[in-house]
Amino acid sequence: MTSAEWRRPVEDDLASIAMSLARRLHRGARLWCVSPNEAAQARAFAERFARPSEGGAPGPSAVALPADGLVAALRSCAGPGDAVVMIADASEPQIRELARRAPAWDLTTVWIGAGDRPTPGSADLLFWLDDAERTSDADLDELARRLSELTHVALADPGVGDVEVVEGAVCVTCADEGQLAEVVEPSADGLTATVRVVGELRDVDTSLIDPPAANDLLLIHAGSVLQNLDAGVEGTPVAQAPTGTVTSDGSAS
Amino acid sequence: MRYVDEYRDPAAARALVHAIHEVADPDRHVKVMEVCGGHTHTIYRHGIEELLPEQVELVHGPGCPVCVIPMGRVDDALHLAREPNVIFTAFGDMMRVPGSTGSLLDAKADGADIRMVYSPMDALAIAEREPDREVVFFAVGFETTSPSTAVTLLRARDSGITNFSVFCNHVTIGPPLRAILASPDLDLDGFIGPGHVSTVIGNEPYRFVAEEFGKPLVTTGFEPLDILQAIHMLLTQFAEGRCEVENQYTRVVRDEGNPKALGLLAEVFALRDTFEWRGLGFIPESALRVADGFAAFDAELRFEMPGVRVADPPACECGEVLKGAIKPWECKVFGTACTPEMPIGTCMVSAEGACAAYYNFGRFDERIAGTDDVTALPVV
Repeated sequence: MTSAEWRRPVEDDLASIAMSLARRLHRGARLWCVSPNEAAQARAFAERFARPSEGGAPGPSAVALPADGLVAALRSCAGPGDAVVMIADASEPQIRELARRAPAWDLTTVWIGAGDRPTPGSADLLFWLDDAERTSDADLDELARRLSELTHVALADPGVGDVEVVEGAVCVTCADEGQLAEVVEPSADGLTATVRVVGELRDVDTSLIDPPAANDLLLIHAGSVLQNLDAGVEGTPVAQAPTGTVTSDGSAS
Repeated sequence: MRYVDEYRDPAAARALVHAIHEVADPDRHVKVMEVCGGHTHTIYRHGIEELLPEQVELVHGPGCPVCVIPMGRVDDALHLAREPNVIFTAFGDMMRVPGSTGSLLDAKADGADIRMVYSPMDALAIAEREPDREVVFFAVGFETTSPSTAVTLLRARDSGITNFSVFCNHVTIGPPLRAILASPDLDLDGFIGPGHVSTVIGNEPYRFVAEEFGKPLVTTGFEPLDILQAIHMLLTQFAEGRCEVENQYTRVVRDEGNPKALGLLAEVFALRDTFEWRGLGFIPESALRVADGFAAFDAELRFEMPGVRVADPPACECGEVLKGAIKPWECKVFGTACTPEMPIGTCMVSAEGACAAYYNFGRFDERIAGTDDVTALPVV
């Protein structure tokens, strides 16, 4: 593979992630940075982002979280619409759990790593390097620099608030689709629960499932819970890609 | 399962697309119907159709609950909404569905007390707060939504609330699938099966698709990668000469569905002898009515209903679109007289409707889709 072949998608991915982050930061989101195995990487990443731009504009709010108790910390700290940059291998259990719950909290997830890839769909945005390109701290710092600069450039664009895809009013109930929700507090009789769905708290009926526990992930629709996803359902997060290696231009080997 | 602005794993998507091209038989044109409107929305939002081999055609099915409501039932809803002392409640997209004398939104502008709700429970809460008014809930949807209405009716009965009723238009997914399979117009090869309907009913109700009609069906999630994988699974079945019901959406759907929900549906609802579907006509045992034990909450028994069958506007071809017989852009009013802002047909109302999906995501015309020639787009 020539360098031109791998650079194109890497640059595309960086630009896309930067634009997505800029959209959220423009709306006042905070950027959370986590790296369970190398706390210094999360700090370095957050510092890069929080710096003022070259034009002197203040940097966005970026915070690094300590490695211990990441899921609980983000559950209590992060707000709807925030974004989290997760630097970790695909097998890191805290990050897998965090990515699984992020939709219920309305967090945008950016997963950065190397080696074996996470299950497709685990994160909203994925920046992944093959094993041969496994990064050192210096490489990661360079990645953070490029991503933060691109994000600052996108943030400075007066049109950054206009680029969101507008679909018009969509009624999720009419759409006949369920939404992911996390139990905040089940009722004593097990018939209702307060849940967090797309970052908001709602009361839902749980009489169609066995009484859920706090932090269970549920599928809800029209105010009723249809399924407890933490109760005995096979845990394939999203579609599995077929086996085989695919190069950046789409050809397979 | 979620609405995301981006859902990126280019390598996985490329691998799936490549695998689809590998397994597709170049000499066999296959037509695959996605039953659920949510799938239609994902397919057009993410341009999935354009990634597929030419010989793989996606056909859009009748699984948008808004789109299949016939105009006569909307007129009945408008009649109820204009009754004195009635608070009429409905889900968001239903507000814009045109009847023969306008939409619920128009009626609201005329002074009718019509309120949008997220859940039938919200409607029941209004009834509790306003005991001197009659609150009617416009119940629509497949088996994803009907359990919520059933729970609400149970609550209403147990709470002794007497000023609440339901105008029931809930439908079931199996009979229209059978009607489509029996239709001589359509020559389908397989189905992308509904995701969250299957959470409730499981995979067993689809067995007849494979066993009686010899067509494979794959229950599928709503992410683009889910759809690509389902298409790959269907094409693999074709290539291997198999015909089965498979479950791509194992992270959510269990084979047995949700037995508690199914039990409650059987208690609160009964099957109608027949029900009219827009585009598909009358289909036996394809919809639910409020069961006799809950008759006090049945708006059709509680109020005088016109119950008149109303033909669709002659220019509207929603029926053919819903059957998958034509593409939205083949309808002569698509994008001109019929737009999401001023819909004539139901398929243009809901974001899950095939026409709205085509319109919103720029698939105006197959001949110009994917080109940069904006001058070729119709002026709307």
